[in-house]
Amino acid sequence: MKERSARIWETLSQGRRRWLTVQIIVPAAGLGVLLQHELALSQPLWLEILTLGIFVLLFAWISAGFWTALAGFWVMMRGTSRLGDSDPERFRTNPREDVRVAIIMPIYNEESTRTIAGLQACYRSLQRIGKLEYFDFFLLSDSRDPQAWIAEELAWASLCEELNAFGRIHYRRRPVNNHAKSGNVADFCRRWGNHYEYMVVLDADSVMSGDTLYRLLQIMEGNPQVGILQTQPVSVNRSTLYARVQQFSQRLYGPLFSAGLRFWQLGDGHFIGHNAMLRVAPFTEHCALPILPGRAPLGGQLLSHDFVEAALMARAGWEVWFLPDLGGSWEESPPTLIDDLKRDRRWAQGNLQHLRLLAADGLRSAHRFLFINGAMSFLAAPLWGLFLILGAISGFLFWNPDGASNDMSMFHYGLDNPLPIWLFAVTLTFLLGPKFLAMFWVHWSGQARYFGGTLALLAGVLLESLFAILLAPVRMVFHSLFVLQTLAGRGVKWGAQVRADQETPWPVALRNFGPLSLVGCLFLFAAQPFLGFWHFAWLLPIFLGLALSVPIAVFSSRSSWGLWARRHRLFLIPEEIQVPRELRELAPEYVDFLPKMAGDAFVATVVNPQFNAVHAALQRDRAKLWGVTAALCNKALTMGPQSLSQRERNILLSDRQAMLTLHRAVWSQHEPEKLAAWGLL
Amino acid sequence: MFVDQWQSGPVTENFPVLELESVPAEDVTLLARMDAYLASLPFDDAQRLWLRAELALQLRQLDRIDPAQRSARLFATLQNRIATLHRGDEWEARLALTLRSVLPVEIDQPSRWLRGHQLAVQRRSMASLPMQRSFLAFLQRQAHSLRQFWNQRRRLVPFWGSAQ
Repeated sequence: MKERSARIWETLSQGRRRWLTVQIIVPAAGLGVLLQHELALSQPLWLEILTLGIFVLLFAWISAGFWTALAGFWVMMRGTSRLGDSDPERFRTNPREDVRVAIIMPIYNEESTRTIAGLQACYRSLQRIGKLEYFDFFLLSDSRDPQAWIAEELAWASLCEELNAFGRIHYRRRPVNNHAKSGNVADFCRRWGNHYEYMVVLDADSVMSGDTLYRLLQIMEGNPQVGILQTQPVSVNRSTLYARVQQFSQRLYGPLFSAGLRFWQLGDGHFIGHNAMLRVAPFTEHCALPILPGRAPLGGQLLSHDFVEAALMARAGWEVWFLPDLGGSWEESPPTLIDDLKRDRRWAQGNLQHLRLLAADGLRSAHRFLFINGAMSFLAAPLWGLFLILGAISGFLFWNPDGASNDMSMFHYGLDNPLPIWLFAVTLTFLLGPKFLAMFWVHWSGQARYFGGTLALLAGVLLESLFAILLAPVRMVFHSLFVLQTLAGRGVKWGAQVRADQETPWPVALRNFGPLSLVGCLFLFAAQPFLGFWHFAWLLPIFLGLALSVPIAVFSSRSSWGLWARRHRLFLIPEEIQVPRELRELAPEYVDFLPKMAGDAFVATVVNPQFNAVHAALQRDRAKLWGVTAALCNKALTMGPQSLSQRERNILLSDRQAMLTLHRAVWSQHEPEKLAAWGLL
Repeated sequence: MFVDQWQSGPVTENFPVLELESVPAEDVTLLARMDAYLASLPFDDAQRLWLRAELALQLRQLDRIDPAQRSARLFATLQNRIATLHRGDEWEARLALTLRSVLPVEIDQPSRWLRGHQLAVQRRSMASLPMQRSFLAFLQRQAHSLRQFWNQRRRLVPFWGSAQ
């Protein structure tokens, strides 16, 4: 069975990938040759080679995106991808009675209310369709912050109590969180993987509908050659302007790119680390991540594990399918520009690390391409920056103050030589074409009303494009910095992500974007005489984007602006017009059973008899630590809980006897100041 | 090293119930604290009344004891009485009260019941196939496959070879 369908899609995908390769290489090379004719006349060889090399690379990269979108457009207009017997969805079967699926949610210092709401929404959705019996849930905590640990533990207990789901929803906290999220998942596979045939990985902000989960199970059951099924999570639920613009663009343009991506990939798909179902046994056997030789950031542990896991799965002969049409899969996007850039910083390092795996034996070509594409997402920024600098050097070197100052500017050639305008037009088409294709498809398929109507859709696309143009130079600068920092050996670690909507204050924006704004303003007011009018006009969007980066960061982080846009039907997405029940259930009133814990969670766990009882029941007696815990109990009682460090609190919290002892001792105290330290006065 | 009242020895037992009005005024704060403790556990009314009466009684009997000891003794009494609600174990009693909506009646040890829901660990190791990551080896592999491809073509179309 494994061979049966493998051959069909492989033959199909080979032809499609060759076509893509030709489409990427031929236009880029052709335009390169045309540009070379121009540059050869006016520039020294070194400048010509550098400019041409970067132009061809960048154009090839954007054309990969364009052709992917075009392929997606073609697939969506046809309404079928012509996969025939290769399509895993055709072989859906009802699951065997004894098959078990683990839905795992690795978390790290997350806000437990949202996490539990998401888990509950999935649980209730499965319950509604009557398929809960196949699924178990795991909240896999890596939290180091005692506040987060206690909150999630008590929230889990309350959720189990609310749903009567003890034994179906599990909570586990790793005392040592090595290898971050991938280590957390690997730990699950090592401990409990044998109990389950499949696992669904969710992020802390993920939600999936019961229908989608069950459908994934059916597809897996009918396709024993498939190792990973990846859904396309839709970004939802944000209210800041920045996030709503991102949601809008992902929801509008995303399907086109997703369909195109699937068109090339077929059974060599990608895995984004969440909202996907994986076959546990092959994942455990083949997807242990390699440790790269050398030191971080380019060596050591892999920071981005998902692409590599998909590549390893495919390398071992298992198929990885991307199912963008499945629906019922959601996530949340970073609320502000700063949070988005923080995430990009980690991704930049992770994606650059992937280049070291490029030459690995046995990898499928599609995954090598994904590694290159991922790295190019960040390398494109310094390349673009360099391209602009080379343009400026060229302009400066050949600047003639006697009136020929614009000779190097593209527009100066005018009608005598329209090549630069053609180059610009082609580039613009490749960049903006997918947006218009997506808009056309949405209008043609009658979905415009789910985006607020045709006019609102058009206005949204125009404003989003303006927003993207202004942000492009800001991203360029930051991505270039990220790449340079990584290459210079300055690494980052995974941290907790900001999930809630929170505004960026002016001082924070000034600290992060102030220098950019300053540089942008300088160029805006001083560069025109040096560059000439047309060259200056050509670079104006870049200067404007840099100059406005501080106010953009501040205003786009405001929920009030996002909600204003929503009231005026701007940046609407279908999930806001027809809110799926699973998303409605993320509202706070659906989790009002969660324990209300104000203040210090450690103190609450010591003092509150219920919290203390539940927490103690989930800990072990760590007899070897009793010497240490006794001393720490003494310190806590004599000097107050504020005297304990986070590590000391974690030690106490992890020992059952210490927590029971502290509970009794604190309530037995009589000195007012000591009672006050524990909130008992 | 701190030694709490629980560890220091058995606490008083079998007090008769006294009227609540007989609590001395200076002990109101102490009793209020104990009340707060009682309020944070979901006792039923009868249990709460009984526990409060027990505390009031104990408080009267401790009036000649050092205040530092009195608070500890009173709390030990409270814990002792709570323990009697669940087979003599105060912690299990608190847990049983906390989980009362889902805990089956026949369960003796709620803590064991809670832990019993955890899935048994069946350890296995994660692995991956050996990986050769060298770029030189990659180029050699590509050259090799190119040679193979070329040789196949020559076999299929013999004049290619002879033309050379």
